[in-house]
Amino acid sequence: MIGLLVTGATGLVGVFTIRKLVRLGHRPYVLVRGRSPGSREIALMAEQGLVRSLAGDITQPGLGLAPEIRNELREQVGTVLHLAADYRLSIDASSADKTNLGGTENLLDVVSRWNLRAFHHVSSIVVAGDCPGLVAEAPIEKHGHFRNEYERSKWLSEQLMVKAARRFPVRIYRPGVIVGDSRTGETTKFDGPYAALHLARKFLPFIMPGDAENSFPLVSVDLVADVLTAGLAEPPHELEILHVLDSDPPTVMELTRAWLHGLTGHEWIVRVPRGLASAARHLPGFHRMTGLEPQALEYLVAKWTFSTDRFAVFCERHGIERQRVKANLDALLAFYALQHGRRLYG
Amino acid sequence: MCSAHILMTGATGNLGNALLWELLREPGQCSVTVIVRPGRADYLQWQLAKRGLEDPSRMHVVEGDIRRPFCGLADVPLPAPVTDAIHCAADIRWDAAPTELFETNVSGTRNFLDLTDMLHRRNPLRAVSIVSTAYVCGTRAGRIAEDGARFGAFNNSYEISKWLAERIAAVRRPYHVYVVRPSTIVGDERDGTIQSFSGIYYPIKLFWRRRMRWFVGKSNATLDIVPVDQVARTLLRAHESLRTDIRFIHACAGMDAPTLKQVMLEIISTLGGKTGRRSRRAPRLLRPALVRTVAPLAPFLPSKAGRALKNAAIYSGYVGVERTFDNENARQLGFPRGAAFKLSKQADFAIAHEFASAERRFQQGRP
Repeated sequence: MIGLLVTGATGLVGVFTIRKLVRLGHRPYVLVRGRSPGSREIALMAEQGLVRSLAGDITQPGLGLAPEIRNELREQVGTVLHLAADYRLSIDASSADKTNLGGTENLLDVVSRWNLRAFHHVSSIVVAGDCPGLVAEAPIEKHGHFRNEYERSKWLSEQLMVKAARRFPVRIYRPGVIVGDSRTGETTKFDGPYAALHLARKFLPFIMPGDAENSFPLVSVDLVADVLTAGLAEPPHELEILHVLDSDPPTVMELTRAWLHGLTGHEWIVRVPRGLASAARHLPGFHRMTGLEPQALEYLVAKWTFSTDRFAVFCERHGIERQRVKANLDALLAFYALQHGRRLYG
Repeated sequence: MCSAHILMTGATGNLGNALLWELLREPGQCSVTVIVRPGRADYLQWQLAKRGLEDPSRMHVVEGDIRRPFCGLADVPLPAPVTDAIHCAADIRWDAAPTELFETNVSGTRNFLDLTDMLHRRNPLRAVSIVSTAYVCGTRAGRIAEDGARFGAFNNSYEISKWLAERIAAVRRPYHVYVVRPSTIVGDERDGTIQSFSGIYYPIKLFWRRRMRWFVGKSNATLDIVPVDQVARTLLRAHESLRTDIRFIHACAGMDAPTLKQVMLEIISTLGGKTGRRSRRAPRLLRPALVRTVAPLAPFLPSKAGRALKNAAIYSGYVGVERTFDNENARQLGFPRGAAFKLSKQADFAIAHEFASAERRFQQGRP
């Protein structure tokens, strides 16, 4: 592979992808800013020359890099993997515009003078917003309603990428809700479905909106890393979009049952109507108690369907197993229990 | 193991040190590269010198750290092409901080296997051993099969971290991987040598200091104890035999394991003579479940009693279950059958060293 530049390398997906790339013998350039949970590991890799670490900032024009470094990158880099984003659902409009939209703009501005073979952009399935029906693996042109600023900013950056695809080939990856490694459960953020465990740890029952028989669009971080690694080795044609999702995720109920039982030995689940569950986010102390951003509740009751036909073909071609969450719920739970100093009840 | 070049971690620990000694004590062809943390090479030399191995020429020491990617050895040349690798390093503290346990035991195993994968691409490896623990079975009772560990209830974070580490070792690789699971390790059966006094040494110490009126456990619970040299030899025989039909090895006493009561009586008969109190009664046993229930009160008790209760709670998971570890694979690799269970050599060694770990003696400049 020709020279690779990775932004957001110290994030969860970044660290997993870099580990995989380094194992395969690649020596990517990584753009590193400030402190993230993965900063230490990336710094340890840089010490051994496994990655070439550049102190930069995507929110700055020119990525905050010195001109001579940008010149070196222009000569060396043929592929860009853009992971950097602020993924908080509670993000305000100005931060979202600065990091997610502005970051992508700055990066595109810098690489516009490069001779790129491929640009890989990591988006999110939430760019679909609140639109009903099946979401295709294609650009989303018109838009009805966004649930939050995060969705809006990620959609706008996708629009930038769609335009950029006229200049160089672009592949957009839209991962689902990311959970820990399917082998070891390793993750740096316990959001999304982990809220069930936060509640159980505090002896609070899990409040389940509706029938909870809908499956959550989950994906384990190692699947995302495998897909990105395979994708980097296969440059896209013009514009490609993939929905990076587990092929058979557990339903909200299955996941919650298995986890609550393992952590506490009981399954305290209180079912409430959807409307009431949505209203729960206005309760004071909701975030502190559940570890869940109030905006996330809307996703718990959302009924989404995503087309994954292209993704299935992609995984087939690269021999990537797409079903990883359901069979490995135990490992995800074990990692959570380990991090929180809890015994397990099996 | 002729013509082998073995890469190993954890050489300053209990099992690693015993392995290294087994490899180096006899004249032979095999050589060893040992990964030690920076600044620990002197300690390793001191440990080997204690056992009569001054400056062994067949051993090379490289400084690395399993908590770093590729153990920090991605660009460090090794003295010879590696043929076998053994990963003994682990954090065995039952009550260590969860993040440390994950970093050392789980990420450490991943980093080690990343390193062996890289070495394999340069020069094919024959086999790799990952040392786990028999206690990945958690709280399960009855017969514990010698196969992939199932998810279940665990006693502590240490067990969870080793269970997760085994899941990394389960990934298919181009060389054979053994998962070696010793039970409670005690000193060398010939002279009692061991590097640190944990596990069964705690009740021995209590009795030696004449403080053991109470202990935690059920008298008929199994206490699977295994001398460290037996584990080391079984592991090395696995590498010699290259039996690919064997994957998990329970280096455990199995059917020959004593009960807690037998262990207590053995400690008393061994130490009774030495303390001059032959007719000493066995301690009264507190039920493990009771100890665990009252354990949260430990911080409110006087410091000595609080510490005793905390220790009892930590131990309670290991002295309340009747179980037998299947050890057919280990026996096929020459693990002894029907070995009589003795603790006198181990107790003598511990008493002679005043229950001070090798590391502490080294730091304090003691013999």
